[in-house]
Amino acid sequence: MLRSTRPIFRTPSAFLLLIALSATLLFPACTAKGPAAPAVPADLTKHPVYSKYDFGDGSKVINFATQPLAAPAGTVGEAMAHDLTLKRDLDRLGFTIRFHPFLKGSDLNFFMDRGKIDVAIAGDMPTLLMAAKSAIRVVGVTSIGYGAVVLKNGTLVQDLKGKRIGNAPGSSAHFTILEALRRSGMRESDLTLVPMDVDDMIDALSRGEIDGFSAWEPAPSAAVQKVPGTRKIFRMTSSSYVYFSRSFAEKNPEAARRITASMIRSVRWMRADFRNLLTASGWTVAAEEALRSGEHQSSIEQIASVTKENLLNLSGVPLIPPNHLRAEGDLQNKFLFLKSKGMIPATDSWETVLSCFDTELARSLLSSPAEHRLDTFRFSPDTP
Amino acid sequence: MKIPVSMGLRGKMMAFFCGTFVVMQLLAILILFAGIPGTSFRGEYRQEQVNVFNALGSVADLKKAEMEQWISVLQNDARQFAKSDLLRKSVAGILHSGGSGRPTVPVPNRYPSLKEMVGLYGSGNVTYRSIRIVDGKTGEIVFSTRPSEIGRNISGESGYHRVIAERVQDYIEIRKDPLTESVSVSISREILPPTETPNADPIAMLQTEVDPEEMAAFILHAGEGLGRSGEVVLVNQDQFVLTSLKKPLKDGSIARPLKTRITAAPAKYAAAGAEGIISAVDYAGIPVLAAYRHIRVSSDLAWGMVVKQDEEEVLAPLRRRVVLFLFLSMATVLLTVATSFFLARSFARPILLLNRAAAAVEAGDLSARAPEETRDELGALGRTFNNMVHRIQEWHEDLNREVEVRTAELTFANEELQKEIAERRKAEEARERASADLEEKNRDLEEIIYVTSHDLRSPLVNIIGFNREVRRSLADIRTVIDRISLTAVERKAIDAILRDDIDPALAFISSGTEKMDRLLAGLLRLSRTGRAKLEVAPIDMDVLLGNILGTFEFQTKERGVTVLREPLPPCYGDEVLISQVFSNLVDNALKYLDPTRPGIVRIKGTEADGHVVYCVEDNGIGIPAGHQKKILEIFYRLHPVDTPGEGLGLTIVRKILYRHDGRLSVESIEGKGSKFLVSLPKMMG
Repeated sequence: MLRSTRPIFRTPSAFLLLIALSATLLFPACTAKGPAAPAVPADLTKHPVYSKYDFGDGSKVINFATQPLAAPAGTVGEAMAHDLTLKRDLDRLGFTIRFHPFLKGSDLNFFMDRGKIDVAIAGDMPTLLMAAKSAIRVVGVTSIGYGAVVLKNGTLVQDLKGKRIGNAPGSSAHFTILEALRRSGMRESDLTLVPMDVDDMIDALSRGEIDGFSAWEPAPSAAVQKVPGTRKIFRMTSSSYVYFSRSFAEKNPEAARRITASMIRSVRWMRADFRNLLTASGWTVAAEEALRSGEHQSSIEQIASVTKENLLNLSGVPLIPPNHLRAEGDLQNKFLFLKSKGMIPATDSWETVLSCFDTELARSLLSSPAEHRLDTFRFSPDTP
Repeated sequence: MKIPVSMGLRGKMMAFFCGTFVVMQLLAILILFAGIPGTSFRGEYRQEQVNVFNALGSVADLKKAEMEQWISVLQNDARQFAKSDLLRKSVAGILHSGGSGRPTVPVPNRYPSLKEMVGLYGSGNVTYRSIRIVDGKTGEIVFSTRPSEIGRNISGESGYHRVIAERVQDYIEIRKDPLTESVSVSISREILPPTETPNADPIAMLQTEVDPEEMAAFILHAGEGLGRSGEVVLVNQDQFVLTSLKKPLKDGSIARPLKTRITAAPAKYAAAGAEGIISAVDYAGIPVLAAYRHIRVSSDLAWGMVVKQDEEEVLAPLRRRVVLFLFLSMATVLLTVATSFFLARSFARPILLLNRAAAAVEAGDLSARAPEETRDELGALGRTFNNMVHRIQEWHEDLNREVEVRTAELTFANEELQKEIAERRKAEEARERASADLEEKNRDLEEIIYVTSHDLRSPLVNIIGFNREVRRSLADIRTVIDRISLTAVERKAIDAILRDDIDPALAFISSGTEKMDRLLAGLLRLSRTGRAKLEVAPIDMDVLLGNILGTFEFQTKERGVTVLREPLPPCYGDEVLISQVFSNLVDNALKYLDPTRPGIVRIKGTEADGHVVYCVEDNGIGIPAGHQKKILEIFYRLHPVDTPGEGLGLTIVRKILYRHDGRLSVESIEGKGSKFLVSLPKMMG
């Protein structure tokens, strides 16, 4: 099993440039009042980090996109990256798997759209964006957590009035802040949404550049601990999923089965012993540090706690819960939100999204645990 | 606040003091309760609300943690029990004892060790409604704490399917007993074979059931901390209540678990996956402050929890404080009014007395004085005022004395002036009488001149006529004498008489009578000039001078005189008389030109101070300085021999101008030329 060399930002200015570039490109989506043309994505092939990734040049290389900045999705991804059973299974099928960390879901979707990424773990918004195009096959859930709006010196959503709030445009966190406003009878114009990446929000809050932010875990919990006077004033469920590109899943069904089995195995492994969870959390922190020039926003214990709360404590995971797919459920509301923001064409249907969720694959694997060695735990810290 | 101008000083001071105090106090109360916008100071009302919200949030978080802990305990209990070697061996034994793996006699007493084990399990922290073991192959209940259930096949139920068929390790669901309608939380858990074999298939399923109402009661209990209206409400994902509610619904009905769906915003939001704090209306239609939380029971099961307290109860202490504050404020305001009244009275009294003194002084009572009782600024002001009035009083007395002296002087001067006026009036009357006499005499003179000149002309005409007749008779005499025969001596003597005596005498008579005729004609003209009625009208002087110069055109050309005429301003007057004036002046100018140089006559005019001044200027022989006044006298001629005329021209001019309120002046240098300036009013009065 190979892992990409984790390049780091060589200078702070390069990192800032990335943030500014991302903010600039995503800003129109943030300020849009109604349906608008989807923003043209930046050419991430020239990204200072992603441009160094080696995606291979043959069909026998499986590229897996992870997100170490998001827990527990990042934890599951890191556990899978260290799963020797998966490596051996794929070896037997003649595949090599490479894990590539990404800062956010929209980035990894960019590469999946170009055929560079075969498997990904991403939040519900990136998943919906791909599912609306019928470009993926979703096989499992890796997080059932919360996006949260945090505010310094505030208790109610009404306290957001007139404040500057950090926000990742088009993300589930964006949906969370808008839901908070809607449920409190407020409008987007009542506050100032400051477009920024989630990994920069805590520092921005500490420096007083923003009064609060909307983000997914573990950033809100970390902010509450790090920045005095900060509170979570609103939370909204937010999930993340494992999905294959449709072409990969159709061409390589057995490899997809093995990778899905690894997802189940990784969850069971972390659930079996708290020490396993701490180990996987440690790998996640290391991956984040490698991606962010040695910085990390959450401790190992925080990541372990969030992973336990939002994944391991919930019976049934990583099977896709049927209620996620129900009409007028959380996922469909977010789908409609993305349509309203013009990020999903108005003509795309919810049925198309539903057709991308494969609830049977993981169930079939669970029914034959011996065959897929779901309880055979061989995780090596040295593997990556 | 605009204080009416008519309000007295005391009233203004009271209004100002009271108004300021009341405004400040209201502002302070407002700030105290409502906070300061744009700052972190929220005010008591908001802070109280925030405190309650925070307390509700904390309670909600605690309740949620307890609820999750409770679920976790259920899961852990099931997990530990299902994984215990003793249970797995016991279950394996039961399932194999009947050969087919099915108990032949479904009574619990048949398996005393399992019963004992389950009893031990069931005596923990959790009170289970039932604990059952289900055969993993058939789906039959092989053991249950409810003996009636043994033998019932549950292979068609979701719990059995998810755990045994789909191999979900544990599964939580809400179940409702179709018979009793009681709601229970059920946890299903796989039971693996006794041997530690990885990835082994389950041989049975452990299923436990608890009554949420009973078990969660201690969690859902609001307690004293939330007051008498505090309540914790639990709903499922579809907003159906899971436990009993404290109050009836809006329609008065009583909520029933899994039967009643509530649509209040907090429960709706919590069931939908949101968490927050809100001020809303609860299921009973009562305004509440609520914290709502989302509880994930499993990946597929979530509950909504609402911790709420009636707004009325929450804010009651604050409202009582507001009332108390208002009461105290009113009392303070009354106290302030009273204090302000006394203060205003104390402060205003010296000023009012000073004002009265000032009013008395203004009314003329300079004996009025202001009080000087106090040693403060008002006392000093009173002293200064009194000094000032004292000075004014002194000045007033001095002034009165001065006025008396001045008045006496003025009275004397006035009397003198009256005398002078009377004298002047007499003089004026004398002058007017003299003027009238003069005018009368002038009229008499003009009458005499007219009569004289008119009456003298008749005998003069006779003389002239008879003189001509004598000449003709003399000529006849000469003819007769020539015919008759006379001696030479006689003829010589007669010729001498005729030639040397009669002819010169007749010539002398003729010359004298002609001269007298001209003088009489001039006098008559002069007389008519003074007597003629004025026909005043605007005169275009350019036209008038053009006509006059036209009559002199022959003379000017013959004598080579250059006439320069500038545009002339118009004037008012009798056009015939004014034409006479300028004819005389032009005639004089031409008459007295210097024959040694080319003659130039210049005519111009200007306007100044309501008058029009015309100038007839020539470069003639000029007038010696000693004659310049005399030339205006009647019959005066500067060169009686060299020039024709009777010496009446300028006299007539002066007379005409006199009648027009105009005047004539002369500027002349002998040998250089003369200027005759005619001034006429621009408008006739």
